[in-house]
Amino acid sequence: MTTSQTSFGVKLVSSWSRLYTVGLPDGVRSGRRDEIASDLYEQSVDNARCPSLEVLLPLIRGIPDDLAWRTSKLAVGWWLAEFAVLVAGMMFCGIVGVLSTLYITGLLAGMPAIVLGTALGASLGLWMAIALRDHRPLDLSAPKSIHVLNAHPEGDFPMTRSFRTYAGISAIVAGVIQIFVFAAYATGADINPWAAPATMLTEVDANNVAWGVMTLGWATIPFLLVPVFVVLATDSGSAAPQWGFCATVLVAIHAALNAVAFGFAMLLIPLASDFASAAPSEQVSLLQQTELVQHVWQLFRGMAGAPLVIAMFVAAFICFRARVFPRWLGVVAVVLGLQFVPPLGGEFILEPPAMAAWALGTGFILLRRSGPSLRSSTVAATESA
Amino acid sequence: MRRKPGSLVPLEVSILEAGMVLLSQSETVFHGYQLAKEMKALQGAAFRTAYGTLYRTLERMEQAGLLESHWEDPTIAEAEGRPRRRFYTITGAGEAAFQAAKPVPETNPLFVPRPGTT
Repeated sequence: MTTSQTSFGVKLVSSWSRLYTVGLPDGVRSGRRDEIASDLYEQSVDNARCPSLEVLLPLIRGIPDDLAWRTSKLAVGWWLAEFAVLVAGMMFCGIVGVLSTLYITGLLAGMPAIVLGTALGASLGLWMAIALRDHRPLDLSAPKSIHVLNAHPEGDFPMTRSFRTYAGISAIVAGVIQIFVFAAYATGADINPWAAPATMLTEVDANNVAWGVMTLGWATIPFLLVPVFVVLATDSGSAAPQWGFCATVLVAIHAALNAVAFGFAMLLIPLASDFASAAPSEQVSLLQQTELVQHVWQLFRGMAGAPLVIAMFVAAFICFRARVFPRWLGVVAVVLGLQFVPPLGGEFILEPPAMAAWALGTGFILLRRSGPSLRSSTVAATESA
Repeated sequence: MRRKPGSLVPLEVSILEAGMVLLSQSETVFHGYQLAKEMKALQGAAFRTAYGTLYRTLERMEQAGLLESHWEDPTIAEAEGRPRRRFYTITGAGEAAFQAAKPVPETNPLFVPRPGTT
């Protein structure tokens, strides 16, 4: 083993210790990092040519303990959020995989994707609510900020300020992208996923650049909303943050499903290009492929809508209950959520402006509150209470 | 795995054993790497205890009052050009817990010393 391999192992251990301590209170974070740095230094001094396996194996074997240690240092809400995202993500990937297989093979072909998606989203929301029912980190009768309750004796969580700024910027970027998407939508760049395959391919071929950019924007927006929901949950005060964390998980699921839906939709661009120049005998095969892509696109798009509806209603609930967000944001969230309910949404006329207004409004509010003022004021309010 | 209150798990016993050995070698305190090295030597293991496992256990033992720790003066570490060390020592409670938990030496069941001969 060479020294470079050893130093690679040391760098890996050091990087891992930096990674799993991210977001922890200052004292806890620096203490663990310093202790690992000291250990690695002593080990390298003691045995300058120690094989990298002597460093890497203890690293790998210790990962479960590192993660368990991190969990023990997190506030209840964060622990739940990370755990819930992990479990829900794994479960959902499994369910979606099975359902997709059944749908593609025709076993579920008779069931409309939107019904399947709504049932799945509702079940997941219910499961999350039941799973988190007994983990109420807040006294719901006391209007305190979660930051006060989560304040660690060894220092405040560094994310409370920086993460709110990040979420604010993220929300504003989402709002701006939504405006561009709306502009593309207004020029007729959207493609109806339920159109006949031949019509769809002709439309895609005519608008492929504008539609591609619009689709990419649409797929990006939900990912930008995930940190916004995290802050909505932590800033929700007395409005039951467990619901906020449920909504965060649902938005993350929506983002993933949306990305898969639009990823499949993108396959239509090469198909449309081939279709335009194909001989009639080849067109039949291309239409069959289009139909399959269309099926998967419809399924994932249908499933993606349901979690977002629930998440937006939870966001509205938080805005109505919590004192740190204005109620008009709640009204916009309700309008936005209703746009994803199939019988009410229709052509999604109000979705782009509602999404842009909600994202921009939330973003500017979060940026205004990204300083220490919120924490100071909540601490003062708690002390005076 | 749940354990009885007040009892030690094998890793904690190993830590206390290694710590006692280090303290008996004219050391007044010891740091994490010294402990890991001593444990490896005592157990004759091929690899040291995992970083995460060791430091998580040390923290738990400190919270239980079995160990005490303090950080080295940063100026000393800076002068020597190395990261600061966290020093540990075994408390009276830790020593008592180790004495209670350490494995009893094997005895020949056929040999029972007569009263007054030991």
